[in-house]
Amino acid sequence: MSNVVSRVFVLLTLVATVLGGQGLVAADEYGVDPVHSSVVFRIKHSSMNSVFGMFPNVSGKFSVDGEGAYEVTVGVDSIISGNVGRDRHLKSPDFFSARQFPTIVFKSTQVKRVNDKTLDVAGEVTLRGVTKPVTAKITTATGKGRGGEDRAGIETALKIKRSDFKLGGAGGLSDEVTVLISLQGVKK
Amino acid sequence: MQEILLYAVALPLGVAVGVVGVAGWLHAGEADSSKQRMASGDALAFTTAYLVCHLGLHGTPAGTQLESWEWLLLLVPLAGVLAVADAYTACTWKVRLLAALCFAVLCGWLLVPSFQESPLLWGLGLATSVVALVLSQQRAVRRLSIGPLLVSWVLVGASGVPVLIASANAKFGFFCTAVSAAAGGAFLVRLFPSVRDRWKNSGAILVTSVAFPGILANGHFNNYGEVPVASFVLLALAPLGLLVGVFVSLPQARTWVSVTCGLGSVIAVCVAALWLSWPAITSPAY
Repeated sequence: MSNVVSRVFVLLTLVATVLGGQGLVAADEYGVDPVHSSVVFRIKHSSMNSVFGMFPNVSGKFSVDGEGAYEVTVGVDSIISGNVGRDRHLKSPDFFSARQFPTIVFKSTQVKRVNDKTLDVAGEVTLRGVTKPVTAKITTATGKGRGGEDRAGIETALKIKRSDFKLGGAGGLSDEVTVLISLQGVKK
Repeated sequence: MQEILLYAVALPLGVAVGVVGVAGWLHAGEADSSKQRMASGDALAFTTAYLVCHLGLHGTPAGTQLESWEWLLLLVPLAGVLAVADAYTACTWKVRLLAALCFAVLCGWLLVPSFQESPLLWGLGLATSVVALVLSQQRAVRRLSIGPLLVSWVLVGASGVPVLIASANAKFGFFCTAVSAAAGGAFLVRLFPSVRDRWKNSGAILVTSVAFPGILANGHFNNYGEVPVASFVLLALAPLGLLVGVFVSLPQARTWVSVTCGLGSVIAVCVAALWLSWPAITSPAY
């Protein structure tokens, strides 16, 4: 009888440990899936129309529960704008200086939930060696992947000024650049 | 475009004409021994011209981590200060040589970026280039006078523009344009009879010996075009071609023969550099 009691006690202790331990893991953290993520920028050219480009090389992590941190890294050398000559120019010290500063990094400093699907995220973006504060209103969504894994998506649009980061001169380009960020992640 | 013409051409040209002209006017009535002091006007002119272009088109460094070419904002004025100090102090040649060597080593250390392969080799190469250019051009200016020197700088700067633009570094091309424009301005002042005979030296030798190799080397380090490294090296060392004119020293040789040989060599080197990078220069722009 005492053996049964002790075994039940051990079993209950184990169950409690497992269930309680789950509370110690971060509420939700999603690793960026670069295949289903996009970082696109839009800039006005000669005050006539916009030119678009993107950075396919994106990695990092984010959360959608309003408590986790955001850290997203973009590979500058992956830039694509639809023209090889322009891509080369963008990578040079005239713009991004990709060899000296190979990544653009965003790190959150504060995350606040606005409603079920929206978060206000404040953070810092480091681009070409310059760090500037930035805020973004992020819309979130969750779902399942084809393999049944937990996935989440976030979308936001930021505006940054090229002059803040020494990204090129005038040359017919607007100072303001709109960056559209759409990330999908797999729950860790 | 207007911004580029202003900061890369008009202002450097105007600054050079103004500073060199004032230096010539200030020392016009002095003895020939003051020619060295007059030459220091060149150093100030070229330094100011470069700073006007660099600060006008790029501004001051924004981040805490300086890129290698941003150190030219320090090195070019330092070269100008050293040149002026050399003109106004009675240092021995040993002190001058030591200062020049230390300055060259500093250039080789600062102007090579951390991402570059074989940085030590490149640093040594840059330092050696600075020393070689200073010594050779000082020799050339004593034999050929300053006119060919100024023309060689105009040629190197002008040739550097298409090469650097082809490497996707238009800004560096404009920096070269500014130095070239300053040389053009200094040459224009020299055409005035009152100063023509007094320019037997140039304090800008040290300034251009760090500016051109520094800009061109960084054009190679950040080369995103199909420009061969030989083009950058040839242009950086092109002023050495003036030595050909110095060595063509037949006893009865007229100066124009030496000048022609010297400038001809510089032109040949510039043409070779342009020819090597011609496919990249003529590839369609966006």
